[in-house]
Amino acid sequence: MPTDALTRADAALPLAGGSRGERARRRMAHALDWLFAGTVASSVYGAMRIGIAGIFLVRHADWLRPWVYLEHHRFVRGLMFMDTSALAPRLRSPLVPFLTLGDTTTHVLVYVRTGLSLLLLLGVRARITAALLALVSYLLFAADRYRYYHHLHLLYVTLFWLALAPIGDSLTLTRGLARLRARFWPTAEQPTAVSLRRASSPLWPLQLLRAQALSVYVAAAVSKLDASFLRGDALRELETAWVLKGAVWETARDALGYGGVATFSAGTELMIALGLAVRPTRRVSVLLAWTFHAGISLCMPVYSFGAQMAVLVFAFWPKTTSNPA
Amino acid sequence: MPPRPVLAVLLVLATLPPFVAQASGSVVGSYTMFNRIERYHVELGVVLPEGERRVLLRSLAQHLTHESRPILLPADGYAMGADQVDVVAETLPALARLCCELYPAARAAHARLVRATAAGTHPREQTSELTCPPTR
Repeated sequence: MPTDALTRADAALPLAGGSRGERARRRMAHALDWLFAGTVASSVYGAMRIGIAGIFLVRHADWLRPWVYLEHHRFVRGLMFMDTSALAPRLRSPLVPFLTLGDTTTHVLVYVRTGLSLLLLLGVRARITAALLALVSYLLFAADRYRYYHHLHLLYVTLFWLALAPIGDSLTLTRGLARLRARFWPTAEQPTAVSLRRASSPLWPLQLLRAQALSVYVAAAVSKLDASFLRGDALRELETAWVLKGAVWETARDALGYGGVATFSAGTELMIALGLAVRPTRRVSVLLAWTFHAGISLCMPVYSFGAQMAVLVFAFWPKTTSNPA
Repeated sequence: MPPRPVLAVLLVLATLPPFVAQASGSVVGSYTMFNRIERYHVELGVVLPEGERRVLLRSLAQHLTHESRPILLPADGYAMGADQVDVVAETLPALARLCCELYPAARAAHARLVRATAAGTHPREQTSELTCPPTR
């Protein structure tokens, strides 16, 4: 796939003249170029790769248990999905019809998944690694519908989108080693440390990641726009079930009431989406989103969802060039 | 940069799936997080030559997957949940099939899900009935 970015001149197509269909086609082409043409600092892709791979490694095992207790440690011992101890006949209810994996296949895929996530963190063959990791993870995920969690689905889909991006162009092990070699043992044939730094990358993969983040916020908000949620019924029940708790929750509840917190949360999700979509409010909205997710994480267990959204929202932080959006 | 039609398709794939999932009532990819809490209860039963027999979920515990136990086992009584209720609803045929496998003499099996709002209003029922294969 060519990775050269379109320039603004390329994007400036004549809009007048021709039939109505022709004009509509040109307008669509112009809109797509306006949205996708441009460049961005390469490091944003490397940072997002490291963030997502790090979250993946933490969420799919209990390695951090000795130091910090995370929500998934309640049911993950060792590597996630490794427990195949149920006796035959076993309940089989795959998410994808007929996708049932044997125990050996499951164990092999879990090891492959772990290896791929390490490679992704280091940036080894990053794009193909991300694609394979998404595929293997989704295969394991879809083999039992009880494995479904929104945040895991989001994590795997994000990997698919990252696989389209030049995530191996910066902050990788191989580039780091090459730079060290170039710095300490320079030879005529070797590239210099400076030339190994890729300054900019095409914008279009980042725009797709941004589009994904916006759709998550809008979808989450839209699903909350019903009378029962906005009255605070769900929050009241979550509190009864000890899912919502803590000082932050109690302060918010006492200040706004159940309905007020419900309306605030749906409204904030919509506001974040709107703010991120428009350049002047983008960075403020990134900060708002990070604060919002930190607040939610202090009130209720959301596994790695908040951290994942924090990484996804980071896609809106860097400045872009050749893009009037 | 990929051709414009490819970009248009990618943009649609990046944005529309959650809304399609919500419109079609699918949990997968809908991002309907904590928007409702429901109460749910599951009843299983088999038809044996000597008559009907109720099957408790906890009696199936060792045949349930690691991931399904925390969602299914509380449903012998009344469990609370959000999206997991939809997951249980999708599993009813598999639960009936499991009952058939565990009771070789059974002629039929059924799995029934009763769900309601957390306050117990708007109850809904969903049942999956299965004729067990004759030779097992």
